[in-house]
Amino acid sequence: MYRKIRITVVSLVIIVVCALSSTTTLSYFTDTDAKINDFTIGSISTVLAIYDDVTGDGKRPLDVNRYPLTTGEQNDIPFYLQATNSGNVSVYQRFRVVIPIALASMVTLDLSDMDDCVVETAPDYTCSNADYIATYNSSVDNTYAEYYVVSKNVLGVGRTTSEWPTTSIHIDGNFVADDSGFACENDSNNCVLGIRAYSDAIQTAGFVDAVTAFENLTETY
Amino acid sequence: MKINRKTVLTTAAVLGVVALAAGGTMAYFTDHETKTNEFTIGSVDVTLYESQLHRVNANVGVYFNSDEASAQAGNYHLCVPYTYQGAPYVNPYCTPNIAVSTDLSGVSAWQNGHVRAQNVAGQQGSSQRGVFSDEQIRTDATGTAIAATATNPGNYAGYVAAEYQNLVPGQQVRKFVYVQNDGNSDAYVRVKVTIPANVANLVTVKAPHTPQEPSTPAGNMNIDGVELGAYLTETDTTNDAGDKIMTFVYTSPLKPNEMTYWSPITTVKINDNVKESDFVGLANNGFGITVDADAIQAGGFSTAAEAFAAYDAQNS
Repeated sequence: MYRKIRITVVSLVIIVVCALSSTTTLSYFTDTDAKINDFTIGSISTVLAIYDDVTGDGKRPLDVNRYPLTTGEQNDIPFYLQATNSGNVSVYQRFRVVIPIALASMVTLDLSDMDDCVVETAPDYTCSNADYIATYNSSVDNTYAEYYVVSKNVLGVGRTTSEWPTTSIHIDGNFVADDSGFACENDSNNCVLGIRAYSDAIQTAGFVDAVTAFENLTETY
Repeated sequence: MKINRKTVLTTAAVLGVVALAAGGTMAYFTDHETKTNEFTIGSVDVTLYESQLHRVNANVGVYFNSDEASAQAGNYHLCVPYTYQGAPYVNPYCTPNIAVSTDLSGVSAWQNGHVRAQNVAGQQGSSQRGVFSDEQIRTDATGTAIAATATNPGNYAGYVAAEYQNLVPGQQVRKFVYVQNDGNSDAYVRVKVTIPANVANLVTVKAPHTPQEPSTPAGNMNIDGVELGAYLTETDTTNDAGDKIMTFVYTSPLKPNEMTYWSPITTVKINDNVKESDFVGLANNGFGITVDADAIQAGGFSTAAEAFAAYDAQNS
């Protein structure tokens, strides 16, 4: 009898152990901790303004209608350029004045306010003052003649370029008023007779100076 | 009739036994001793610290200020004994009474995680070999933001507020992570860094201290003879959402109160060739990088890989 009970108990134990091993899993102590950091991306943007009068109390936006052109005479259109950093990072900034190649021999950008700079359109011409470096050259495809006026100074967020690297556009007496090819499209406010002004900007991070920075910029027209 | 004495005693004993059997209680000498064993339960508890400090970029010298007293006061780096490639390294600037120069021309201060200094001989140096302590890392990693100045590195929160904003291509910022075992059991730990899918190809989280970075010879990175490759492993995966997940497993368990020595990552970089237009549509004009630290008891496992296989099975 006793032996029978003992066998029964052993059997029950075995059954219970088998049941446990088939349905339970060993668990482990664990822990976790987490952190998240947010990064934001910089934006680069400048706003170009062109004025025809910067004297007195205010600056007057250029209106080409005030300056009707006269064939046979030299025409001067006031052309003061200014850019404001409207992005959220400091930038190197430059002005780019693009002249259709057909006009290039008749049009020059006056840089005479830049200290020793003179009006000059020789290829690879360059001059500078304390704040700007100006160069003149033709585009690679010879479609345009271009003035580059690069600001030497970093333009901080919300800041405006210092005054005034350009003063006017000269159009000599050989010019014949002709809408074809010289008109500004879409009533653009940066265009005078097909001559367009742009403000280019590039991040300062990664560049030792403005000239180096703009070597890396792809131009748009 | 003569009664035998022996008979009397025997009779009395018998009567006594009979009496006891009929209604009395017999007392016994006894004794009792008790022992109690207290059992405690182990615990696994880790804290993740994010810091601007790279463990081995501590300046073991002094920060030179206008006078020696200020220099001593401005010395926020401990002179911790450090073993480099198996040999003790003692920095010659790590002395309490070093003469300082009053000429600070050309000496920059705290910059990019390094401290520059100039001694009386006019020699300039920066980031002499040295080690940031666990306490320095914890201090840097916690608290409200303290902005960096010329004489104070600030803290991580201050660094994030200043440097994690308005990033442009090519720009990289510091990010070091450490895990401390705050439990009372040895634990294996791992760190997982998640880069969201929408910027996974635009941003690089640098992990130079693993075998996956061939430019870092393992022999240059070892602590007391333990090469880095044996200290940390990296596995990169992509989840179903396209997020890139970098998983770093520390191959040796952390003891209670121990902090990981190396950070598995060093910087977050905006890739050189990205355009501003690549980031159009980002919520809040940015992205978040998540770091997770996981830990599991070391007991019962012979390797970290085995431990985290069990961790993942348990948490799946």
